[in-house]
Amino acid sequence: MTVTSADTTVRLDPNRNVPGMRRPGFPETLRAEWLKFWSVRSTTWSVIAMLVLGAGLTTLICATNAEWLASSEADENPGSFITFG
Amino acid sequence: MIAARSLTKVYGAEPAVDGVTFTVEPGRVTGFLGPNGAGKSTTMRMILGLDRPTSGSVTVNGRRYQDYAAPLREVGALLEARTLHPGRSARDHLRWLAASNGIPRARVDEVLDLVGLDSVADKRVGKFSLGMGQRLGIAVALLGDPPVVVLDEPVNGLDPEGIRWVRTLARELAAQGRTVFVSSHLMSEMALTADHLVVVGRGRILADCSMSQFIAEHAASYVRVASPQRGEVAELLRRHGLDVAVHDEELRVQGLAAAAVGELVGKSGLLLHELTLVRSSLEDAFMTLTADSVEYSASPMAPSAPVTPAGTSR
Repeated sequence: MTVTSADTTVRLDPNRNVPGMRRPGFPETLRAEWLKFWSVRSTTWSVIAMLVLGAGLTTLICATNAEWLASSEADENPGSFITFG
Repeated sequence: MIAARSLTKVYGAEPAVDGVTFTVEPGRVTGFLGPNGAGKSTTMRMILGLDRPTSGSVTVNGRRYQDYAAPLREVGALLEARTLHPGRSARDHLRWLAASNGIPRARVDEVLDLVGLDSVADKRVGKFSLGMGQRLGIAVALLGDPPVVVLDEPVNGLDPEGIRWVRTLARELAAQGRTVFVSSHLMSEMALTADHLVVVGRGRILADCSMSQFIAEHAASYVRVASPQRGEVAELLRRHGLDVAVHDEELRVQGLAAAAVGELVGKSGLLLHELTLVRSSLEDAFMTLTADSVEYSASPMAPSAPVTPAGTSR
């Protein structure tokens, strides 16, 4: 009555394996996480926003205060002023 | 091969899966059938190590899912196709999954091609239709070229062409010698795909047999007889020990083949207008089998409620 019984079935080809498979370890996990991290658009936008807000603001503040920093009445070291921003 | 041994999962006080034992053999498509809430998904989640069994065990090719270093290469699964980040492209989704299991990059393009998503591979999956999402889910399942494939409701949301594609794919995978376990709540779908059936209801196994055995055992049949001398025919057949039920203009006879019923009636010189063997559909057989285990069944609308507005006569 049975249509298929276990002994009549085809055995899966043991050489079917996709070539180049490795046993996954830490490098594979890191690679996967890296791909996940960079394959969403928000990551790129966040990095751009960080650069704009960080470096951009420093440039802006330094530019507007350049004259005061250069003058003799400045009580701040220009180096520490830059890193402050 | 998937082997479940007295597998039990209890949520609160209610057992979702109650001491289930079955084996899914390689080389054939095994259908996993049951009404909603019968424990199909919970069983599948336990196979994939997503739920811890309360007691009992389930192994895939002799080991538990969580004991494999690269599970995607052992068991390919489609559970819920929507559990992915909507902002990632189909290709990137497959790429990171491949990387995590040490599967080479080239395999990603291979499966994209196989499921027919190559043209939209770089589109974000959030913009995918239900059918495209389902195809991506199947691509994920096949990514590691696994010997065991588990598909939970794979035809949900697919168009007729897609449904036929899944059916053919399941059969091809089985023909290659893989273990294919497909769940569905549609008997008609299973009838076309599966060789073997595991039917569950309320967390218990109701049937575990081949498709043909299931049809023979559970699909009831009767002979429909129409005659101008209905009364006499019914009486005659009853005298021969047959089970005769009267339904409007027809008689439903059980216990004898159509030809034999015809001969019997003909010998006594009675007239016949119709003589047909009626076999109930698999859907009906499945309904009868699971009738007691349906969790949310609709009760027929009460006929006594007077819905006719006053003033109108019926």
